[in-house]
Amino acid sequence: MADTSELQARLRALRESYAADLPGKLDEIHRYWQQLATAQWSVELIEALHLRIHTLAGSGGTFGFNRLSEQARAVERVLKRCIEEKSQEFWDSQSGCLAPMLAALSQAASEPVAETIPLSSKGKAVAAKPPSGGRCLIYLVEDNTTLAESMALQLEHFGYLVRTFHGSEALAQALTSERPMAVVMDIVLPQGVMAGAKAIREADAEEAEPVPLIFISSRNDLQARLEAIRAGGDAYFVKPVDIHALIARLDKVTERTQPEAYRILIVEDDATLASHYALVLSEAGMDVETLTRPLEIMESLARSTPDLILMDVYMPDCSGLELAKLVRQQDSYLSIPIVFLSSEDNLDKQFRALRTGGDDFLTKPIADEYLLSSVSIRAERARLIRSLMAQDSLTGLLNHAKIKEQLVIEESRHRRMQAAFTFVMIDIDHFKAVNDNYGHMTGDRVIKSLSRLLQQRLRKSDSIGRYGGEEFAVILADCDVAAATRLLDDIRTSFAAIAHRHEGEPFSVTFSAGLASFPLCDSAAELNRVADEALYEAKRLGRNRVVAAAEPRQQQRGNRKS
Amino acid sequence: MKALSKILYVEDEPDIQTVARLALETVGGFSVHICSSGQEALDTVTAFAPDLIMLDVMMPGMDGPSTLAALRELPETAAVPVIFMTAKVQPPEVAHYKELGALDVIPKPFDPMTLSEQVLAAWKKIQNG
Repeated sequence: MADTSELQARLRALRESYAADLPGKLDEIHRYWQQLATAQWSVELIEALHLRIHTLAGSGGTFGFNRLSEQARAVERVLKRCIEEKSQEFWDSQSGCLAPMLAALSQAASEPVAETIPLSSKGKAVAAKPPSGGRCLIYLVEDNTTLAESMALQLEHFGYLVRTFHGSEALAQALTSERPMAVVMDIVLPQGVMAGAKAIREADAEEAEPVPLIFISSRNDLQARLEAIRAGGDAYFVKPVDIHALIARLDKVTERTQPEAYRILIVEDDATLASHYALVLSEAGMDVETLTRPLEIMESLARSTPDLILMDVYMPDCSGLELAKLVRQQDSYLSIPIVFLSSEDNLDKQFRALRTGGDDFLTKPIADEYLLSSVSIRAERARLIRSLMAQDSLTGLLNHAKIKEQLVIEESRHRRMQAAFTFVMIDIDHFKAVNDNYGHMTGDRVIKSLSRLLQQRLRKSDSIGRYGGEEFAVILADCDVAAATRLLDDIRTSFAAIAHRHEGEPFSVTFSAGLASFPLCDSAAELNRVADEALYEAKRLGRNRVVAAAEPRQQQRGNRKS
Repeated sequence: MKALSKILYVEDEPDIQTVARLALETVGGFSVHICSSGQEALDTVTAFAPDLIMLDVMMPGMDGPSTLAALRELPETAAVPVIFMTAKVQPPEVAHYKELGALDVIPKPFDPMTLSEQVLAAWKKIQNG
């Protein structure tokens, strides 16, 4: 491995060279943009523009231009729709919001970001680049040495770099020299209750963003929790700590699972106003789509679900209130927050609007900052709520988070009972082709039919979850791998025999499945990994089959990289 | 476990080519051959005999998926694992690429300091067991 400083120097040189080329690339983009505003408009021109924007999106972040990549990605999405629509009229309706986005692109091109400075914006939180070659540094402050050791080991297993402290003395000093991404701390330390928290907050006082603080405690009473909030804690876990929940929270506060930008749909018939709102929100890092024709809303929702809909109340074709009712008619859109925007300041009328299914009412004219805050806060909560809701909205099965939780529960249950159980990963074959050929509504019906079949064939004691997209996860309680294989194979043949219909024409769909069983695999993580590998094998072998992992895969414990 | 040593990297953008070489050769210690197009990759792959192939998805001419399909037709490269480089990393999209036969998908823009780690992690997935 080369000398790091030489490497950094070379990377810096590459960044500078990339930065030097950017103005030329942006000029070219600007030229295409201007041509498109004239009689020379053509779909090919948009495609050429799209290619250049796509290239910027895919390279910017590599050379330190994170915002450039984000902005380019947002422009790319609009351009793709324009290419799909192929109409100059559609292009004109979008060019109002594209203009400021392209301006923002130019601006982002003049602001490179150095490695260690965190970007922060309300629309999307991005953490500082983690040091140590990609591993996140966590401080663990726990005076019980056995517990500290076991927790550190588990955290490292999940890819974190852990520095352990048994008290609060060395803490403040360490914090100033090497900043961790988060601190996990026992509330009670030898120096006293909340001693650690005080030390951290003092050392942290100068920083713009306080370091995330996660408390662990054996107390579960209200007083303790209140004190934790007052001490600035971001989370609170009661001992014995559920390590998976802790990891999930750590991933979130350290932004390891990079959250997607909030997707906002603006329905406003005044194009100037629409593009102004779009600018304010997209500058903050949100992904904004604007509709100046409200009746297109159902199409837009079917294409991609936004995190929030910002809707004008008074529009020519269809009032915001009617539109809200239309949206709420569908169960799957019940949870999307709808925020009305209107010059209506009559409270009664505002309440009436809220009754139609809106969540908030903002009065025009509205200050940019206030619009941004209202939208961010609501979008953030909506996301959180949706992820916590136990059920997947389309199928009524357990959602991703819940089925993973259930797996851990079943693992400890079966360990106690000393019984075997099987975890199954199911993936519909060629599902993208179903969506492409027959549309998403038919695709959804196929998903629903598989979930119904699974519910019919499996027992009450089994758990069925929709893992995501066209993937399902099943936990067959008290069931060995042989019985599980027979059962899944039976379900596989039944599913393949179903005649799904699209516009009267029948078609069939198959699935592949991978099985892993406990105690052959002895942890939830291993079950997950092995079943996934078996599923991959089933696909590789030609799909429409069930593959059971025969024996446990050896994990390379001595070879821990991140 | 078979060691990963030779990587064929297919990417049309010169800037990315340079930084990818830096990331994989200097940081990762791999031996890297870079091609600017799917066609060039097909012409040189047999001679280079890589352990792993990394393909940009959106390239002019032959795109990533077409290049993969062509590689699968050649007996020498039919079984060489392929990683796609793309911005499309939503689970359904990743599943789609895997269905096409890719081992894994690495998001663009990539971080040059961690690219080698990501590649090695994907490599280990197929080596285990």
